Amino acid sequence: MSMWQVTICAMARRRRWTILLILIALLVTGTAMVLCMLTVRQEAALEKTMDNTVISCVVTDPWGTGQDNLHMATGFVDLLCGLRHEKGYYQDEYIKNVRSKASIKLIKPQEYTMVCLLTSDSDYSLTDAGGGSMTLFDGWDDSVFAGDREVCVIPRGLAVDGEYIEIDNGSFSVALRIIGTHTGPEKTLYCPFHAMDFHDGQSYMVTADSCSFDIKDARRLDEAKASLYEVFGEPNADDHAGSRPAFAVRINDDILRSTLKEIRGNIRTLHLLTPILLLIGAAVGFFAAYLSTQSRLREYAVMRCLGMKRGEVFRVALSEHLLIALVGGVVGAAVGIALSGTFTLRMLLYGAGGVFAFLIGTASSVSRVTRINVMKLMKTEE
Amino acid sequence: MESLLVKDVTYSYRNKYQTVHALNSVSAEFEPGKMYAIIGASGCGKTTFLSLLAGLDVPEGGSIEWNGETTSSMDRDRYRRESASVIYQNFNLFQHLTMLENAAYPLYMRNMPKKEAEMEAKENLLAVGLREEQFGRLPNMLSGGEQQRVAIARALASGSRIILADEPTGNLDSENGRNIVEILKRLAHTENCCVVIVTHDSAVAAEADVVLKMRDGRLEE
Repeated sequence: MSMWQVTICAMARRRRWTILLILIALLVTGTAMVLCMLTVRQEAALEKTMDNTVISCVVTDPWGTGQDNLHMATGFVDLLCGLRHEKGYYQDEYIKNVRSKASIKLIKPQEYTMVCLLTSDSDYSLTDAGGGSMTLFDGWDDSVFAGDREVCVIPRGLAVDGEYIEIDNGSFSVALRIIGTHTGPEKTLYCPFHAMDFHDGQSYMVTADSCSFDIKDARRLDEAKASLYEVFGEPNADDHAGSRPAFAVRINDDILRSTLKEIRGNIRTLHLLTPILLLIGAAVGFFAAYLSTQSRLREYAVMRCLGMKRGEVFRVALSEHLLIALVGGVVGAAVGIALSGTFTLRMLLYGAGGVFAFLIGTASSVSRVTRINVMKLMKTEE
Repeated sequence: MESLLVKDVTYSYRNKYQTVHALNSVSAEFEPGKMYAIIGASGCGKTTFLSLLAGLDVPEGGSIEWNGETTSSMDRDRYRRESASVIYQNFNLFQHLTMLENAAYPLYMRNMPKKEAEMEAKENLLAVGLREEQFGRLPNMLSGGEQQRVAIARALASGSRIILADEPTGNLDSENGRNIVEILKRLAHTENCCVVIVTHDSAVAAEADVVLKMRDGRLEE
């Protein structure tokens, strides 16, 4: 115990070296913890990007040049909506928010078009960006468009007697209940996507003009793409071969990919920096301890002259550096936590790694005090 | 009777280019209760001889015995801790320990409780003529003579019977040098220590009970 007390007293009096070594240990520990915090933040950003980035997909012609007037069978829309499981199609496993519209020319009201919507935002001209809007009466909401209710939304200002409007497309006529108004295209009525499928026991062929949707989970993007390309082709402006799919899908994942690439690059760099920092910590620890012990070789020689064994001299020298690393580590951890504004077990492990690297460096440097030639040292330094 | 017996000791330094024969067939006997002086020109092997007596290395040939055991076969660290102490010209005190802590260091090494160790160290410091008010000073606040006294007090703390002094007065003025020699003489004559001094100073040698002359690695009486 008394040796420890004397060692601590001597360290306190050797202020310059002690503070310098503590500062180095503090820097290594603090930097390791900050590095860990940065890594954790980048990993969180990666998760957040995955969760929050919307990857929109648009069905186009096979060349990817047109996305309106597709004349696409509504069966494609059905399988995207998960209505074709019995036929082995599970596209809805990967996608969400399917938007689609189909148009039917009407003869009554004259020059009007009936647009069948899957969701209220399936028509760009009804969205805020498109400058239009839709207002549904009390008791109705967007979900009505996913069904087949015989209801419709009429242009605001269109004069109608009663709650219904009579429509006729030449093949059938039906009275649709008015459930709201819109400020979109003037001569357009909107109804649910499947409202026009069956009338008088007959099925009517309606084709989708456009179709778009979002990827459900960015983490499964590659799986989703593979699944979608089984149904739709990949847009290829140069492909004029006859065997191509009738429609293609354009997956707008460029921004996500570039963002992910950047974040993953950052994480890779941080992971690479960690061992480099530990190596630097060990090297700095080695050289600082080398200089510190070099200036005190004579002291160690005197200890040997007084009968201390090599191992005991090593223990004295190492215990000083152990204490320094401990103090530097604790203060460095506090600084690291203060700078990071957070504390995790992983950060603590990084900090401990920094202290350990510093100790490895100092221990390997201090080990040379066991090899000093006392006789030569005392003789040559006289 | 215990004595430090040197028999036919040889020692040489080697490097890549040459071998220097520092000691050639040196024999001597050093008895407790006497002060010995070894004199000789620079480079004649005095310090090397003293280092071998201190057990800092072992002879290449011959032997050095203490209490019937050779330095080659004994635990030399223990020998230095308990039996042989070296005092150097430049004192070799721990610069960041106080006078008292320096004098108590051999006792700390034995894990003696701090209070007890410092009590004993105080007695030794007082015995070599140092004053209590100085005990808290660091070596750089002391004169050369005071530092050498602390070194002697440290040697006393280890309870050594052999005191080896390498030019102990080399860095001191004549008055302080005389005082140090007096202390060493007292240790030999009243404490029954075996004191061996290596010196250039003929005045110091004149105080010794036995003077040995070293020339070209050989010892002459």
